[in-house]
Amino acid sequence: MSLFFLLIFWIFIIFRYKTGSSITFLLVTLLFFIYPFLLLYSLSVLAEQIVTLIFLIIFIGILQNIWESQHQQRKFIQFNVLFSAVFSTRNLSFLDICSLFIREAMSRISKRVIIRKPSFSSILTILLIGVIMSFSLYTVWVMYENQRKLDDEKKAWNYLIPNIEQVEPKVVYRGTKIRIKGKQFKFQDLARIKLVNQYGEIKNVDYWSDSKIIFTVPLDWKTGKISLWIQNEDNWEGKKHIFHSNIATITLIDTKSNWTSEDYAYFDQIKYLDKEVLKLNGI
Amino acid sequence: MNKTPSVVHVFVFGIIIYIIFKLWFYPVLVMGGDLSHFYPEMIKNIPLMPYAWDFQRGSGLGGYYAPFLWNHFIITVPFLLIGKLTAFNWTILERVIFLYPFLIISCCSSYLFAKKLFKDSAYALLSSILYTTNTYILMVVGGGQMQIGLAYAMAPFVFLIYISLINNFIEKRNSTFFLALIAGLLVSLQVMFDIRIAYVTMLGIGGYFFYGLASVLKMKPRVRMFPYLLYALFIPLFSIIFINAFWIIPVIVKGGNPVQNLGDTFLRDVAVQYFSFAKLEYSFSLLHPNWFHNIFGKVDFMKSGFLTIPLLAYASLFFVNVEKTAAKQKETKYIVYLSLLGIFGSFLAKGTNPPFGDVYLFLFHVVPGFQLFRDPTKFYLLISFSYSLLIPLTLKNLQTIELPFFKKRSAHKKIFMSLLFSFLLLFYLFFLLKPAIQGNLSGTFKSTSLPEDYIKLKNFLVSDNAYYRTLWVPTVQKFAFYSSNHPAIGGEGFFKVNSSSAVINKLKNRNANILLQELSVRYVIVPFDAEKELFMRDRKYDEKLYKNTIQNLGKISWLKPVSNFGSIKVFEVKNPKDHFWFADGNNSFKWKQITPTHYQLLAKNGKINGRIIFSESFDPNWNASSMDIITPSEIYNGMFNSFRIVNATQVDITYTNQRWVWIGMVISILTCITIFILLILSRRKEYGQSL
Repeated sequence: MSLFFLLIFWIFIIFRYKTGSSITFLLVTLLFFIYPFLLLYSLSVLAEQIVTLIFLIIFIGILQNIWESQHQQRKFIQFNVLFSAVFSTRNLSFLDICSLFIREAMSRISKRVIIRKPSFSSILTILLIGVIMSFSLYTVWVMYENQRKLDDEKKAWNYLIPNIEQVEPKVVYRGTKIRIKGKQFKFQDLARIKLVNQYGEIKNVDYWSDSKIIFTVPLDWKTGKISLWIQNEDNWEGKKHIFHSNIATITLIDTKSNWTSEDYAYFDQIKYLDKEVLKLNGI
Repeated sequence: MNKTPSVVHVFVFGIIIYIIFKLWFYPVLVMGGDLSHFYPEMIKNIPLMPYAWDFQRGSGLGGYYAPFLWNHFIITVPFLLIGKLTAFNWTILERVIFLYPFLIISCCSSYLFAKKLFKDSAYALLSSILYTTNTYILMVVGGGQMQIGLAYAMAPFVFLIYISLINNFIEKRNSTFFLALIAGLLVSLQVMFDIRIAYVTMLGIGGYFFYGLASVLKMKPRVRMFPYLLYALFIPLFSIIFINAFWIIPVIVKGGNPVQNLGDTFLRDVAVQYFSFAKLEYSFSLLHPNWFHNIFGKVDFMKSGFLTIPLLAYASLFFVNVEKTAAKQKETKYIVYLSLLGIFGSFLAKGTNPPFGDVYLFLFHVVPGFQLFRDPTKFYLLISFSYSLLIPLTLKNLQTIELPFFKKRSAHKKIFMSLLFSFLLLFYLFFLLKPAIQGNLSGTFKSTSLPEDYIKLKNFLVSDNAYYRTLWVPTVQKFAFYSSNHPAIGGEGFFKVNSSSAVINKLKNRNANILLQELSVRYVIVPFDAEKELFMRDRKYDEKLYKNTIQNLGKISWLKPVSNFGSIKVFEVKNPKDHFWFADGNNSFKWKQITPTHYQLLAKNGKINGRIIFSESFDPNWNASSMDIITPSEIYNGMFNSFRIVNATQVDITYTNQRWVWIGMVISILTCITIFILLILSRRKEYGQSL
């Protein structure tokens, strides 16, 4: 409903200031350009409402157009007049154009409103403006509330998404114990949450808590870069959703091959490892 | 202004069409959704004349078909003639009957309409590209809905002729009668392709019709309103009704609303709300809600880039009322009409979604014919038609803007504007066609191959002349062979369940063996899911389901496995009944099919006595006649027809609804002949200049 108050407000502008259909389409164009930015900032509810508003304003614009074609169009302020004024005047800034509009609007208002004895119609007009402005503010408030609700829903989803913050050590041999720290790991016995790498689920986990996982690198893993992430499955309204954590990468090196720079890296990292990780690996 | 298209423009146009539809130009098999595979033996089995009974309806048990006969002469007959006269296989046939006609008609009709409007071939070609390659039509033809595609392709032709007709009448030209006949013929053809698209087209034309009516009412004398109604309404309307009389008459006389046949659930508000997949931002942006995965019901995220399309389209409204020349006024009229069409189409295509979602429900229940639009996406036709013309109009008008820095150098202006044009076009293509260019579209945009196992099974079934049915678990696969001698029953459809395990549960029932025998089912078949669309879990193919189905069917004692069909698992049911069999009574008889609505039973020795079961869906319009005695069908076992026959040597089983089809056929043929004679007699006078 809130959109329709905005729409009524625009219709009021058209009748009050005799703005032409092209000004309506100019407004539509501006709203079109707002839409992607709203999506960009995840304001999808607002974006949807903007599209509805565009749709309705276009409809109003077409009706205006039909009306104008049946009447003298010079009575209406048209876009092409403004457009040619902008391009034919040198050094005309955007502020100049706005001030021209405001001055024109103010002069029209002053002609009507500032009179010795306000007529019934002018009082009615002022009241109407007041009501429409109030409803417009209310509309903005409702839109904001809707957006807030949507953001809250998203936060609820975030609760289900695990987040890996730290993996130690990052260069490992087979048999090394790795500690993963982070948030929302839940508890492994829920069965729907698992630690995985690019080859599948990692089953030999030594310890699992909501913020920490410790596991031993199996002897059968291939050497090279290994991606690790946590996967959480959840049923929501009868549908299965799978949430992935961010991916952490470790490097598995071979104990039997020649000494390489990665072996140096393994020993270098020991200087900076947490005491718990060192203790876990008997260092 | 280019009146004839330049080689460069045609080349670019051809390249774009080729890139998007490239697979259609290679000799590979394409299939998708509603576009199934037909073997030559199946084509030969199609009857030339329209029949009110079809053996494959009613989940393979046969059913009343008159309400679905509308496409018989436009699809089935050419299909049959080309299939029989040539040795084309399905790969070629599907191109000759569906794919190429769609491309040719869609490109030509949209080009011709735009050419009349713009008088410039470059913009007309752009319009044609927009009309033929938008997300809506790509999803429709990708999903194999070729009849909708062909009706869609014809729509600009219908608009062109109808608008010419109204303009001719207003401008008092002579060729109005000729155009009225052509309009009637074209809409009749469109109805034969798809009645819903024809309905949407007529809704679109309705707006222009009322504009014409308003113009005529302003004229003097006002009596001219009656000839206007005659030419613009009654001649086309009666042409449509009489040409399509072969299916309209049985429907009127015997009922059979095609939608009601689907069940009451399809007419409920919930169904309409469920099928309203497109939100306003989708319909408004000419973005099909299933773009581009084309999985039914899976609405993809809104892509903001598509909002450029309505922006470009409605930007044309900036250019109305600028000049008061006659040509400009005419253009203004079209811009306003097309914009209203776009707005109207966007509003209806979103269905019950906000804003004013209840309006659609109201229209659905109140407006005659609106029940055909359970799925509101059909209204995308109006949007694509509108935008395909408005966008080139915007670009054309952009060229006329007098920018101050180009005022004195018109050559620079032209270069700038043509660059702008190219940029916008590429921008559009980037967003709209990227998945198509990358080959990510599914259905008819992906090649497939006919598995050898299905050919083996087909050859096996064709070689057996005895009558029996096949039961497919969970349902009939697209490569499945069926004929009037071996109809195929889809397990899910027949048992009214929606999983293979539920079908198996039904087959595990105590009386299932007897039921299948009475249904004349000889083979129960688990298809090889070549298209990965039957054994699905969470919209993904699951081989476990396929294996479980085979394993569980194998446990049913009265089903004996038959080998030699590779991945297709076939189980045999022992002693299935024939198409006609005795419930009680004796003596033997033989039967033959004269037509799909006429069978003849002949006693082998002595006379036929007793209750004969005809294993097709029960319909009281089936009659048995011997001598002068007519016996109506009685229901047997809740589903079959049966006739009590006494002392007959010959019995004729006929479907009485067929006579209405024959009456309709006579009317249709006479109407066609009359229209062609009138067309030859009436003089065609430059109707094309009226736009």
